[in-house]
Amino acid sequence: MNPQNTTPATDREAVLLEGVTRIHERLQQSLRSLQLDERLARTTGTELPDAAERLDHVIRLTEEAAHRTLDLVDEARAVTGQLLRAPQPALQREQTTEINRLLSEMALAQSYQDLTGQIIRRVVTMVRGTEDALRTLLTAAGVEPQSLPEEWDGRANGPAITKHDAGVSQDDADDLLSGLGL
Amino acid sequence: MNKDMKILIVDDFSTMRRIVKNLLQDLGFNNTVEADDGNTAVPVLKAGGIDFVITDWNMPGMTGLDLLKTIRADAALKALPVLMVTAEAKKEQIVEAAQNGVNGYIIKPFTAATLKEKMDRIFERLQQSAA
Repeated sequence: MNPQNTTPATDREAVLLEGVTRIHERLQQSLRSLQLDERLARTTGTELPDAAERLDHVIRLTEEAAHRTLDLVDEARAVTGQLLRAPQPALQREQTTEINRLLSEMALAQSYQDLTGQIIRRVVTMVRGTEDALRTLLTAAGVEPQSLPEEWDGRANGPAITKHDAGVSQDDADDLLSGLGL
Repeated sequence: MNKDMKILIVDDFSTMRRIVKNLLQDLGFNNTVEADDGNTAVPVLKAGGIDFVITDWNMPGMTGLDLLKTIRADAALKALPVLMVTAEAKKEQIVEAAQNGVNGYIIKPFTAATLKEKMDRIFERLQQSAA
């Protein structure tokens, strides 16, 4: 006979509670022994909010740089437009100098890449550190981290970059659409 | 292709709206309006006068896919050509957009030539189906 069937409900609860308490203690012990409690506390309290703030700043910097470049493109096009529509030899030197100046400013506007690159590199280091801490925690709990292809969940996810994203090229998209009669 | 037609550009990034607007100007389309997601695009569409929609997919508020569904479900708007210009590039997503009646699909980043090619193709097909 199954002994569980003969155990009163309160006893079963007591056994369950004891089991959960033991798991909890073991987890806390591993956390402490691996100094994961400190690492995860720092990650959650400091590094993740910090990373989010840094990435928001990257969005601002890239947006500003793109607008600055587009402004300069507009200005340069106004000058080339004049050159095309009503070329005036007397103004040619002045106009070419102006276009050169605008091109130099465009080059300068690309310096955002250095700044955002540094910020992103720092966030990447932090993400890897978090991954490392979580991996250690999972291993201590006897769970194997899994690398699985991402299935489409019906939501938009932005550009396909990693092998898990499984994005297709424009040519593939064209083939797919012509197969669907588009 | 009527160069005076009014084109609605829907994208949450103002830089991308600007880039699309510039490319359209190069193609001779100067009559454009902008919206930053589906929710702001719908009232513009309902007000009337829009001939063509170019929309991103991934936007806060209403996505481009939901905007497409809204357009196709609206008696007054359902025939409007919709070109999706998006970074979303999963096969399932392209199929989903096609099944919901998208007229063209461009994956970001894209070139001026791709935009021209897809717009030409959409108008070719519209003319064929009208003939």
